[in-house]
Amino acid sequence: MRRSPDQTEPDFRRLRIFAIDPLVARDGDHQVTVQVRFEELELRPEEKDRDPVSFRGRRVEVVDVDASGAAPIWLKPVELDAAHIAMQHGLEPSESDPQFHQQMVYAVAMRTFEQFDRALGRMVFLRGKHRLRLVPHAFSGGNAFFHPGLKAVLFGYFRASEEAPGENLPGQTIFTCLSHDIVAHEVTHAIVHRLRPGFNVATNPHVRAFHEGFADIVAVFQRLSFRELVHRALQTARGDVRQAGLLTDIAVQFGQGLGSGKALRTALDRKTKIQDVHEEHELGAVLVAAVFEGFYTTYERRSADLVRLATGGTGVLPAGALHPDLVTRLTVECVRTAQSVLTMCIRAFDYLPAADVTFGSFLRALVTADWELNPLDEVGLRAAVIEACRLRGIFAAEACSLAVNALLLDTASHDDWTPHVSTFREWVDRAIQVGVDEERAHSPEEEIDTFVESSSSERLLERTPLILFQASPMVRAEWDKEESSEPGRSLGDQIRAWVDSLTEEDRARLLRLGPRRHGKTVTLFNTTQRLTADGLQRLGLVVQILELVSLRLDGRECEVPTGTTLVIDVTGRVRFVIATPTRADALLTELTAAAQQAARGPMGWAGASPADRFAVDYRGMHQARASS
Amino acid sequence: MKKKVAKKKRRVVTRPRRKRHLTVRMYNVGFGDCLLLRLPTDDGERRMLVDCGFHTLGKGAFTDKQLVEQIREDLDGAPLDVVVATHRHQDHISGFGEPDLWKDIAVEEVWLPFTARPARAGSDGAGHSLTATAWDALMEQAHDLVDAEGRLKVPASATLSARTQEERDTVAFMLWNARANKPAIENLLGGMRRASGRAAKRRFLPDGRAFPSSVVTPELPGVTTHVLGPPRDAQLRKKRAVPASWGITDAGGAGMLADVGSPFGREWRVPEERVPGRPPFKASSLSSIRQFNDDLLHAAAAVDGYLNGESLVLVLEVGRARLLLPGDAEVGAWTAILESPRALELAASATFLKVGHHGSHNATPLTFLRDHLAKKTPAVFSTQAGDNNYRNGIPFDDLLTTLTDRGMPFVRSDTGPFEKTEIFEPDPDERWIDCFIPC
Repeated sequence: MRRSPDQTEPDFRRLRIFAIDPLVARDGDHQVTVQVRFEELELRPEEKDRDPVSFRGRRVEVVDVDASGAAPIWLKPVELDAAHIAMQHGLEPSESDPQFHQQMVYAVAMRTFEQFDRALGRMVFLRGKHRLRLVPHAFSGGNAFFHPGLKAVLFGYFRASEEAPGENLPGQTIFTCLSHDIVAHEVTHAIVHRLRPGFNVATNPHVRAFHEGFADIVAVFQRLSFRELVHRALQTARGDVRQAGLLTDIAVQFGQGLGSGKALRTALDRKTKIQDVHEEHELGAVLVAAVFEGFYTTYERRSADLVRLATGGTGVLPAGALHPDLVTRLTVECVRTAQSVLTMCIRAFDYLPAADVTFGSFLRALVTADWELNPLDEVGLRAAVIEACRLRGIFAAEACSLAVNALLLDTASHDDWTPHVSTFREWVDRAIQVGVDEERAHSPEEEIDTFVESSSSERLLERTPLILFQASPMVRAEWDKEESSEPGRSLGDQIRAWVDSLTEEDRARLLRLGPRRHGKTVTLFNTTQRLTADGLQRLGLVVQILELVSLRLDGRECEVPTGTTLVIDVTGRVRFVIATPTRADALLTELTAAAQQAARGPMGWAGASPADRFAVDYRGMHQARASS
Repeated sequence: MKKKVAKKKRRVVTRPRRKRHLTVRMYNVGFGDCLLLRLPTDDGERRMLVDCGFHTLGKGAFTDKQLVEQIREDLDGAPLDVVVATHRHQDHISGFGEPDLWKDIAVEEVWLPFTARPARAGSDGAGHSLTATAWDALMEQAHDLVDAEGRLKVPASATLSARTQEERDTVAFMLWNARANKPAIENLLGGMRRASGRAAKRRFLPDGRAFPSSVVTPELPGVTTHVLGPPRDAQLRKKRAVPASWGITDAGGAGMLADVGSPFGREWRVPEERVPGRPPFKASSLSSIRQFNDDLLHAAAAVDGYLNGESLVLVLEVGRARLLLPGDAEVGAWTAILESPRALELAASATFLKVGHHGSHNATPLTFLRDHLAKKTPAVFSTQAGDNNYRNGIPFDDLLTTLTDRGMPFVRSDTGPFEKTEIFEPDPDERWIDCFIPC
C-alpha cells in the first residue's frame, strides 16, 4: 500500500506469455499473464551513436543475436519498461514478433528463478554474480541448451518437418524459445549447474538422468501453477489432470515439429521401474513420472471432498460440463498442490550430496527437506511421493526401509562435532552477513563477455554434435572461481582452511572423505532458512566440500568429484552430514557403466574424447532426446 | 548447345597425330576420378594412375572390381610407375580397396598427400597431429552414420528429421564419401608391390615446407612433378568460403546448404552501423555459437571440405606438356596458389586441365580461367550430375560457360560428347575418353 505519492515502484511486473506451445494455442486461447518480481530493466550497452542490443535485469540478460548466418544479426531489444508496453502487460503473444519472444524468455526465466528463490529462501545468482544470458534466436537447429562457458541459454529455431509436421504447417519455422517448457527446462539446467557444480560430472548413470528429470519437473509443475491455464484444462478434462494433455505434455510443438508426431515427453505415468531402463532419458522420465504421480494422488485426495460436495455425496460426476465454481475450486487445489511439489523438489537441493547424485539420494534429500519444513505431512504429499517412488524402484540404498524415518538423512553425532561448534557458529555469522551484504548490493557488477575460446582441437570437436563443454579442466576452473563478494571470498577461504586443518582420521570420520590430495578441494556455501514445527524461522548454513579423486579407468587416469555436504544450524551444530558414498570399487563400477553409456553417446555417435566421457553435456543430452 | 557447335567446328580441323604426345585416359567412373596417364619418356612409355574411385550413389560404367580389372587389361602386363591418390575421399580411392586384384598390378611408387603419412609413435607430427586426431575422430563418426550403401543410419536420420529429403540426401552423400575405406588405405600405404616384388616406394607430398616444390623420380625419367597442394597450413586446408574475387557473381544454387537467414524482417534488426562496438557477445563467442547451426549438415559439410582440403594438386611437366591435376582441391589450396606468383605461373602454364572436384563452384577460380590459363587449353570433367543438393550444382554452370567463352575444348566423363576430335577419342562403349596432349 502506498504511503506517499512518491511510491510508484510496483512490486510485480505482469507479462503475457504462451503458457503452452503456440501450436497448441492456435486452437484456443492459451496465453497467460505471469507475474514476476519488478526490477528496473536496463537497455545495453550504452554507446554514443549506437543502439542497444540487449536488456537486462539483475540476474538475466536477454541478448537477441542470431548467429545462423555468416554475419550476426542483432535484433532490437524490447523495452519492457516503456509505458505503452508496460500498460498492456507486455506485448501481445505472437509467433512473428521477435520482441515478444524476448519478453517471453525473460518472463519464464524470471519465473523459474523465483521458484528457486521461494523454495530456497534466498536469491539464486549464477556464480560470480554473472547474469544468465538468454539468446532467443541463437542458431538454426532443433535444439536449445545451456552453455556453461558462455553462461548463456541458446535457443534454436528450425523448420518443421516437411513430411510429418504434426499440427505444424510443413516447413513452418518453430521457435524453441516460445515453448514455456523448454525455457524453464534450460534455465533450470543453468541453476542446477550453479547450485551443484559437482553434478557436472556424470559419475553414475543417474547424474545425467537427474539433470534432465529435474529440469522437466520444474517445467511441468511451473506450468501447473498457471491458474488460467489449469482452469481451462480442468474444465475440458472434467477435473481429471491426467486427461489434460495440456498440463502433462512437455514441449508439444517441438516434438511434433521434429516429425515424431507427438509431444517431446509427457509427465504421465508409465509404471516403468528404474531397474528396467538404462538409457538416461528414460531414467529421467521415471523420476518425473514418480513425482507426478505423487502430485496426482495428493491432488485427488485434496479434491475428493469437493467432488463429493458437488455431487450430493456420490463423488460421481454427472455427464456434461462441470460447474464453473467446482472447476475454480479444483483449480485452486491443483495449483496449490503443484506449487507444494515444486517447492519440495527444489528445497531438496540443500540436502543433496556435493557430487554423485542418485535418485535415492534425491529422495532422501526431498523427504528430509520436506520433513524439516512440514513434519506432519497433513496432506500426505510426502507419503504419496515416497509411494510413487517405491512403485518405480527408486529407493535409497543406505536407508533400510521406505518409512519416512528411515529415509530421513542421518543426523550427525553431536560428540564428534562438538570441538567444531564455535568455528561453525562463526561461519554462520559470516554467511548471514554475506547474505545481508548481497541483498544490499543492489546490482551485480559490470560484466563483459568472459567466454574464452577453447583450444583449437576442442573447437574442432565443437563442430560435431558431440560436444563436451565440461571437460574436466573446465569443471575445475569453474569451481576454482571464488565467490565474488569480499566477505564471501574470505569465508570460502576459511572453510577451506578448516578442511585442510583436519587430520586424516577426522576427514574420514567426520566428512567421510578419502585421503587428502592437495589443491583438489573446493568449498561452496549458502545460508538457509527453515521453519521449525512450531513455526519459528531458523537460519542455517549449508557447506559443500568438493574434492577430486583420481581413479584409473580403462588404463586411463581420470579425476572425478566426490564430496560432502554439511547442514549446519544457527548454533553451529551440524545437523546432517551428506557424503558421497566412499566406495571406491562401487564408484568404479558405476563410472564404467556411465562411461559405457557415454561412449554410445548422444545420437549413437562414438565418444570423441575419452577423457571427457563423464562430462555432463547439456547439448548432447538434448540432441539425443530429440532424436530418440 | 553453344559448346556443341564449338566442338563440331573443331572436328573439321582434325589432323592425324604425328607429333609426340601423351595420353590421358579418363574412365567414366560416375561421380569420381580415375585417370590413366601414358607418358612418353626418354626411356620409353611410363604409366601413372591418378585416383581410382567413385561414389556409390553415383556409379558410372564400372564397379570397383571391373574398374581395376579394366586398368589391368589396359596395362597389359606393364607396371604402373606411379599411383597417385589425391586424397582419401571414397570417390577417389574406392577402387584401391580391392587388394586382391591389385596383387596382379605392379606399382613402383605411391604418391599420397603428406596428411596421409601414418603418425609415428611418440612424435607430435609437425604440429598437425592433434588436429588430425580430432578430424580422425570426426571421420570415424561420419563412418558410423551411413551404411555401406550410402543410406543414413537411424540416429543420423532422426537428427535430420526436420530437414527436407533433399538435404538429408546431401548429408548422406557427403558422409558416405568420407567413410573410412580401410582396405584402400592399407593397400595404398603398405599393400602395393613393385615388379621386383619389393614394397612400392611411398612419397608423401609436398615433402617439406617449400612451396611450390617439385618431385623427380627415376621411375619417370625426364618428368618433373610440381606440387602445389595440399597447403601445409591447416587453416588453409579448412578454408571453405569462396572469396568474391573468384568471380562468382551469383552464388544462388551454387552453395550446397542454403543460408537460412533471420526469420525476421529488417525492421526488427539493429542496423549494422548502429551495432555497439562492445556488444554483449564477443566475435569469438558468436563464432562458437555459429557452430551449433544444424549440427549434422554442417559437420558433414565441414568433413567434406576438410578432406578435399587435403587433396594433392600436381602439375606434371612432360616435355612441353603441363598437366594440371588439382584433385578435389578447394578454396584453401587455390588461395595459396593464387597468392604465390611461382605457383600461379606453374598452374597457368597448364596445357591440360583436369577440372577440380568434378566441376564444383568452389574448386576452380573463374578468375584463374579468365585471366591466367591460356585460351583453348583442353579440359576434362570427371563427373556425374545428380539430383541432391551436393551434386545439382556440379558441374557448375558458370564454369562450363567460362570454358566455352575461353574456347577451351572439354569433355565430361558422363556425357561426353563421345565424339572423336583432334584431342579427344572416346571408347565406342563410352567407358572412357582418351585425351591426346602434345608434349
